[in-house]
Amino acid sequence: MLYSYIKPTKKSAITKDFQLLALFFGISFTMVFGFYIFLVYMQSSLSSKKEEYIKESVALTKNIQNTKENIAIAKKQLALSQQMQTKNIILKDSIKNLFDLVPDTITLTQAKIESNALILYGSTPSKDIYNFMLQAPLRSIFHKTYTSFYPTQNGWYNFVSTNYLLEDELDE
Amino acid sequence: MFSSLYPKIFISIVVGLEKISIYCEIFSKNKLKKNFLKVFETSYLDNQVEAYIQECIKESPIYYIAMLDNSTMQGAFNSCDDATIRDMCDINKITYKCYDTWAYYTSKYDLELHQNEYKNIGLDLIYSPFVILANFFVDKIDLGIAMYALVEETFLTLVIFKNSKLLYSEHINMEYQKNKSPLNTKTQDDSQNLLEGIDLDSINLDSADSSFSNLVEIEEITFDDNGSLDEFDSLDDSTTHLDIQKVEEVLDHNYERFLFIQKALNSFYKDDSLESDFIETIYIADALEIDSNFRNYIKDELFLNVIIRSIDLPKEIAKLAKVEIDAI
Repeated sequence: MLYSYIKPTKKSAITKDFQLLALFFGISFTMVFGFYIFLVYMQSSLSSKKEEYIKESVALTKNIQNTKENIAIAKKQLALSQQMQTKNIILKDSIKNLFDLVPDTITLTQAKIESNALILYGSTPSKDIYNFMLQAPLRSIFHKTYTSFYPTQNGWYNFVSTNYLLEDELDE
Repeated sequence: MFSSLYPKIFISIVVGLEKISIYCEIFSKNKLKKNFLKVFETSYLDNQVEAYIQECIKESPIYYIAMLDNSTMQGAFNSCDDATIRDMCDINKITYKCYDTWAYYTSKYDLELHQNEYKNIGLDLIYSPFVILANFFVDKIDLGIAMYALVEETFLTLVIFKNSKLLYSEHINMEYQKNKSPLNTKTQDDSQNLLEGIDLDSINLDSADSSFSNLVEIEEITFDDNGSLDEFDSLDDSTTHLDIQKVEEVLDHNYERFLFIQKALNSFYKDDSLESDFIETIYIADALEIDSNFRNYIKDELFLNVIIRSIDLPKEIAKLAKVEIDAI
């Protein structure tokens, strides 16, 4: 039974000093915890970035590889084109030389240029003109020369001249 | 949750005429760790008293300050019924609480005054002297009819119980009453019952017609060779060194108390509304270490059996406070 006229005030074990202490501890803990959360977030963020960078790195490496292959192909193509260009130049020169070889009196109707052979089709007023004007330089150039004449109605001769370069003799 | 980590402090304040008693008990895990009492020579809460109390409560935030209500306007009702109490007084001016079948009350204004005076340190509990008295004699109250008195420095609390039922109560501020000159009230009718009081002015020892001539002759007070008073053999040697004025004051106060008790008994017996049985015993809770003269006054003049128990008021209040706080 309560005998007092008045009720006692509520007493709190949490004194002002304790409250102050709790406040400081609370602030410190909050700061430490906040920093911990920040670190966790940063770690998570960096982990995801790392994965992206790894993927990017793999992609770039693959890209580099592809580029290298492309460069190699391009180089090959360049070499090929250069080779072809050289060959073309040689061929052009060869054709120029050939046409320089053919005198005015002889008419070429077809020329087949092969890797180690030259086949000429044409017409000549006479066999002698062909032999002296064209056959001689051809012989000086090619290792083997074969010529066939076919008389025409107008007294000229169509000829087929087959000229070969032998590889063995080329290597020598 | 953290309360159990701190000790509990109970402070009781008893305000006397010119002194304040501050009693402090410190409990740790429900065991009394230490207790101490200090008395200040002042009757109000000054800086010194406040500083002392602050020092006491510094040890723990769980402290309770209890005080004995020393209001003049306080008393008890013989009923706890709200309607009955309303008929007796203006309920708006008092605060009352029930105790079994009776109630004790005090002035609301005085309660606020106490709380205001102690607002710096905070007052938690205020107890009525009637509660102290009832609890102190709890083993006697239900043993028939008897009068119970709490004797404080300037207060006298009187209650008559019959089998735990309160029949009569009175709270007397002796200083206040003295100023009102109650002791000088003369009876006009000489044939009034002796219990109503003795008219001191009418006593004429020298007169042959005096009724005293039929009584045992009053011995003349004489001094022995040492200069001490023979009749006052209850006074020990230390009192011979007291100021004669103080001795006279003590004797005067004892007689005053006796007269108040006598007057209370008269009122009780005269009141037709009360079940006024004859009272044979008075139980006195003595907070002052009153001398045997008081006992003799009552025994000889009122023909009552006197049983005096010493009461340590600050301790009793602290005990009551602890029981109440533990019960909350």
